[in-house]
Amino acid sequence: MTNSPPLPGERGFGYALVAASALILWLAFGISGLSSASSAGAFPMAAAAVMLVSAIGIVHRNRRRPHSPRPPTTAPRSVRTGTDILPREVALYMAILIAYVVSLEHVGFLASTSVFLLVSLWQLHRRSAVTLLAVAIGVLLTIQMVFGTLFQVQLP
Amino acid sequence: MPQALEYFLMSWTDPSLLGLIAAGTFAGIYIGALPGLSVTMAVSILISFTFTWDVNAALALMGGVFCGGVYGGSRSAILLNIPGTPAAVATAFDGYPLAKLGEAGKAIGVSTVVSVIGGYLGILVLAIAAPMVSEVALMFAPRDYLLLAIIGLLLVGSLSGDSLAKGLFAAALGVIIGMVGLDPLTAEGRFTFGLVPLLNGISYVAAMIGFFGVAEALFQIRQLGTAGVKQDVSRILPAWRTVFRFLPLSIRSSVIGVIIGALPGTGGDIAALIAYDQAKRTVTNPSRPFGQGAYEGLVAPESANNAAVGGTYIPMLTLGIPGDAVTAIMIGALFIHGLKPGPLLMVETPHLFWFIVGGLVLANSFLLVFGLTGIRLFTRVAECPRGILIPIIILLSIIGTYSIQNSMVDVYWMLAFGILGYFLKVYRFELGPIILGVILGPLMDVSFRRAILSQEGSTLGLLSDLVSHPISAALTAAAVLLVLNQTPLWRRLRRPGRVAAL
Repeated sequence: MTNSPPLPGERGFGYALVAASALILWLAFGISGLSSASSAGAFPMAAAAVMLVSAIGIVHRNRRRPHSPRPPTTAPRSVRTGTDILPREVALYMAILIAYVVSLEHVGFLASTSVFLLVSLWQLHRRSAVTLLAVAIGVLLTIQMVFGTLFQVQLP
Repeated sequence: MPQALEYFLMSWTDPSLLGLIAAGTFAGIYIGALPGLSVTMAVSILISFTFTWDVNAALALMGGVFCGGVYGGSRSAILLNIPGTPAAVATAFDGYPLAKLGEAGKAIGVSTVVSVIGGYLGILVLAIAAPMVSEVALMFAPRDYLLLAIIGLLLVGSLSGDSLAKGLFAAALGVIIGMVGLDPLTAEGRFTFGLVPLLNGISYVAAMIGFFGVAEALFQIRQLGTAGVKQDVSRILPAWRTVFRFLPLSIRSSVIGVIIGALPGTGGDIAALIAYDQAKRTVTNPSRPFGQGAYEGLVAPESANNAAVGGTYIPMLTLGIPGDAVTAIMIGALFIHGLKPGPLLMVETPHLFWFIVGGLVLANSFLLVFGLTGIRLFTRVAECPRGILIPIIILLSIIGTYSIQNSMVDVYWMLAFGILGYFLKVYRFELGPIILGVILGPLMDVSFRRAILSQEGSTLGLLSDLVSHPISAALTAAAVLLVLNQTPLWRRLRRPGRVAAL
C-alpha cells in the first residue's frame, strides 16, 4: 500500500470513476430493474455496484493520503508534475492516432498509413528525413507483405 | 494411452507445426526481452492474425510465444534492469546487480537453464493434474463456476497492483465491458442504447489489444529517453556444478510457480514474486546477499514464472477459467476457433490437450537452444529504438483489431480502451484484471442465473446451496477468506512482526 501523496489529478480521476460507476449502475438498473435475481440486469447491477463501492474506496483512500502541492522528490521524475500525467508528446500522439484512425475510413489504408508512419516516426524518432522515409517504406512494405500475403489479413 | 502419445507427438513430427513452435519461441524471447513489448500484447495481437488458421497451428504459435516471452523478460531484467515482462520484475532484483558485477553471461545462462527446468516441471504437473481436475470439474454446478470466477477476480485484484479497491474496480469494469450486447439467455439488450453495432457486444479482442497494445505503447512514449546499458556478455553456458547446486531451489520454486499459476487469475508475475520472497526467507547461505547479486534470487523467480506457464493452462483447459491474462486471451482464441474450454474439452477433444502439452514441451526445448545461443543477435535487437517500435505496435494493433471482423467499430473501441488504459496505468491500476473480467464476466453472469434458476429463483436457496454442498462450501470458504484477508481484522489476527509478503 502506498501512502505517498496522490498524483496530480488523481483525486479528480477518482471522482470521475465514482461518477462513471454511478452512471453505469443507473444504466444497469434500467435493463430490468429489480424484477428478479435471475433477470438480465441483475448481474450487471452487481458488477456496477462493485465498481461504485471500489471507486468510493479509491476516493476515500486518496483523501486520507497526505495532501501536498509539491510531491516529495522521492516520486519518480516522470510523475512529479501535472503535465507529466499527460506529457505533451503523449497528448500529441493521441491526437495523431485519433486523426489516423478517422482518416483510415475516409482516405484509405495506404495513404493514411504512410502519413501516419512518417509523422509518428518524425515525432518519436527524430532522425534525418532520409532515414525516416526509409524506415517508413520498410515498415509499410513488410506489413503489406507479411499481413497481406502471409496471414492474408484484410487491411482496413 | 498410445493415442495420447500420438497426439502428444503431433507437433514433433509435423514440420510446419514444429517450425511454428520454433518461430514462436524465438519471437517470444525477443518480444519478452524488448521493454515495451509484452507477451500479453503479442498474444492478443496474434489472435487476430491467426484466427483463419487451423486451431493447432494457432495454438502452436501462441504457446511458443507464451513460453519464450515469459523467459525473455529476464534478459532485459538482467541486462538493463528493465523487466521485459511483469513476470520478470523479481528477476531484476538480483539479476541486474549480477550484470553490474560483470556476470551477466553466467546469469543469463543460469536463468535459461532454471527456466527450462521450471517449464518442464510445470508441463509435467499440467499433464498429470489437468485430466484429474477436469474429472472433478464435471461435478461442478453453475454456482461453483461462479465461485471460482469470483475467487479468480479476488485473487488478481488483491495480489496485483496498488490496492484491492483498484483491482476490484478494474475487474468489475471488465465484467461490464463483457456484459454489453444482447443477453445470451433472454436476448434483452444490455448497455446497447438501441445502437446496432452494440448489439453484438464489444469484441473482447478489441478490448485486449486496446488495453495491452495501444495503452502500453502510449505509456512507452513517456519513457522514450531511457537508453539501454551495454553489457559484456561472453560465456553463458553454465557449468553442471552450478546447475546441480541450484537444482533443489529451482524445483522448490517451480512447485510454488505451478501452484500459483494454477490458481485462477494469478500467473507468472505473482508466482515469481512469491518464489523470490520464499527463497529470501528460506535460503540461509546465499551466494551473495539477496539484492546484491545472489544467484538464488535469480533461480527462484525464473523457475517459478516458467513453471507457472504450465500451471495457468490447467484452469483454462479444464474449467474454461483463465489462469492469467495471457490464458484469458487464449480462451478468447479458442472461442474464435469454435472450441469451448471447460471440463468437456478433455472429453470431446482430448487430442487438443495432448497436442498443447506436446507443443509446450517442444517450446521449452527450443527455449534451451535459443536461450543459450544467439546472444549477439539479441544485444542487437535489444537496441531497437522505441521510437520505431511504438508506431509499429500501433499499426499492428489497428490491423489486428480490424481483421477480426473487418469492422472499424472495433478499431474505435480499441482506441478508446487504449486511451482509457493509458490513464488507468498512469494512476497505477492494473490492466490484467480488466481482461479477466471481460472473459469471466459473461461466464459469471450465466452461472449465477443458472444457479438461481435451479433454485426456482430463490436467492436464499442459492445461499444455502453455497454452504451445503462440499465443493461449493470449500470454494465459498476460500472466497470469504480472500476478502477477510484484506480487512484490518485479519491483520490484527496475524502474528505481529510477520508482514504480508505482498
